[in-house]
Amino acid sequence: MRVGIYYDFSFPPRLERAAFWTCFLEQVRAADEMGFDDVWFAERHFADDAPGQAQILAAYLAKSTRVLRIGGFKVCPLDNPVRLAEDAAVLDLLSGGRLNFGAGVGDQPAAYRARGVPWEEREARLWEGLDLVRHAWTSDEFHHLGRRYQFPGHLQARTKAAYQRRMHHGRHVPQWERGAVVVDYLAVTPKPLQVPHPPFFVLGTTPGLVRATGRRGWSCVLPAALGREELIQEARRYRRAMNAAGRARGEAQIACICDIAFTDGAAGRRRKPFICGSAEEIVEQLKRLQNDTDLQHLIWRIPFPQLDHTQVLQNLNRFAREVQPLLQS
Amino acid sequence: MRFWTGVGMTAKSRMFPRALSLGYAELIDRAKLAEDLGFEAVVASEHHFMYDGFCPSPLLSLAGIAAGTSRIKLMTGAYLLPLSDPLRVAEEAALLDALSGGRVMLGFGMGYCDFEYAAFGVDKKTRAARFVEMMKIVGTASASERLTFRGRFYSYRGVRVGPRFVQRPIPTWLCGGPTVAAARRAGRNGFPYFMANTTFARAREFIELYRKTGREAGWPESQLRVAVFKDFCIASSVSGAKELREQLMRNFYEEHILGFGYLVDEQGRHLYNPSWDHPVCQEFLESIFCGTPEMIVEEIRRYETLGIEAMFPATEQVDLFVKEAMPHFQDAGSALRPGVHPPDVASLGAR
Repeated sequence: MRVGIYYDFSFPPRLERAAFWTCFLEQVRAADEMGFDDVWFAERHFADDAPGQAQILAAYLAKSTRVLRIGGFKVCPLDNPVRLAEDAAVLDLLSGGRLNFGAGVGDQPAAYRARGVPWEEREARLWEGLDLVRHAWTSDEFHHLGRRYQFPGHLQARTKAAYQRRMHHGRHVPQWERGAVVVDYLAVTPKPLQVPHPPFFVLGTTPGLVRATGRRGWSCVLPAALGREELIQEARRYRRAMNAAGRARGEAQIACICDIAFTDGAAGRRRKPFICGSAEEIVEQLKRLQNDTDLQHLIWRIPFPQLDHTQVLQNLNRFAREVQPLLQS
Repeated sequence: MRFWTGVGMTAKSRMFPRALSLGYAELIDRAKLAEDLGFEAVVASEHHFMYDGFCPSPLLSLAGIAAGTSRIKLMTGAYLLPLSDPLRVAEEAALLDALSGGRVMLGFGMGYCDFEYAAFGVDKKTRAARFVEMMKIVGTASASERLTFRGRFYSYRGVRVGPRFVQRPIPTWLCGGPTVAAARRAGRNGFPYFMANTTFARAREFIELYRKTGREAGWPESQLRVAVFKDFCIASSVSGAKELREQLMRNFYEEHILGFGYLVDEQGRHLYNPSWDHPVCQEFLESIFCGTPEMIVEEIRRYETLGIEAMFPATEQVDLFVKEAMPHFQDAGSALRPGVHPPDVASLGAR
């Protein structure tokens, strides 16, 4: 089982700002050294200590770490998918092919309002956008005529004439000879390093998203809010969708974001997550969860800064030393 | 005089083929070198859909550089603002400002390629008005706790842009060509003006126009700041430098001037497929200053008299520039004391 760490930046800030980012980076670097597989984080708008644009933090982490794969859950419908494709390609190049393309719809209607994107269209925009992203990564010159996005943007898809317009007519003109001619096809550059493209990880916050992710054969990340039973149910939903679409199990991973607490020492803490106890107990619970859900990827949510920095480092260390050897055996 | 330099990472052309990933791998090493040599800032620019894989996201390269450096400023030059969304840009800049400890400088430009506007479905006719409005939005967002703005294209009420900027307000520059429109636009709105390459005479003309427009609009002198981008060809003799210029320009002509409408004529029209002998083309050629290191120093001193605070010396002979020209300027090249040989910087290309 792959194991990553996740920051959702939803915990109230307790530190001075500079210290917050310094501690966060130290934790990620420690995880890099300890052999964790990846680092994940949420994009959170209008908050003091949170990444308002996931790609910037991802770029910073790409050059701060050596082996961790990097994934930020971008709120995709807010952006032109062409920009998503470009940014992700640059991140893939910056990180030496360590990008996991995380995608979600977010949970902040206010962010949609501020950017003038209808909140109701979020799922439709996510899927059309991601299909365009994949197209942009894997093809040279192309065009896209969708309901919500057109590329190049001067093609107006809503009119019948646009669909009937003949593309690529006549001699192909290489870009450096085009001059003022605006053509109906363009190549999005640069291309990512990973072949055929960086893997998609869609945050399955609704049953509809889980199903659609499975159908595409992309990896699904189940959110932290789910309990044990719900996790099992959603994992089954994902597998069913995958099977129905004729996808093989190995095409993509099922991942889930979990809270894990070492509670053997400090008894009587607040609400305990369903995975807690001593290292042995945690391994046992994780293996049971793996059995029930066919889980391939565990993403451990780090409750920072609720838990203080040294405690987080200790926990990471303890997980790497005590849990990993048993879990991976 | 302070000096800025490029990140030189997308130098992949048909004449100099190279894997793009190499440029990204050595990004930090280059920036560190520039930092040690006393450059104030590294500048990353933006282009889209280029066959040579030009980096379309300057702030991402700069974020990568931020992780491996501690002093050098991270500047965009230019970020093509009208193709983006002001709130997105503000959020990007805010996060990088927080991560880098307040080292971000934002240079905003409009871009000129028709296909970039067409691709993003952005109306090129209203770009100037949108551009000014967007620059104001980013400035306001960085200066105030909550962003409230009422404009022709964008309106916001009480949006808290996060994370909070370290620099309040964040330094912004208008990156513009040496044109009447750009100089007036920067002056009228009190934006610091980062001017593209031109001859000394034209630079003086447009800087005067910029200052005059700015004063008339009521901006204080301290706000009307100027930096220039200046192409240099350096060699031990003038004829050697001119030969270098010829070689470099032939390449640039074939790759950029022919196809992309890089040059603009007197009426502000972009020139596509201009001949090599076209007056505008020849004027551009002449605007690239050729000379020995001593002549370069003299030329920069001439620019200093115009009240320029920073210069982006774009040159392929960076090692010569750093060794021979930079030490002559007090507040630059502080890392270079006489008798200390700088490391080999031949690889630190500026374009």
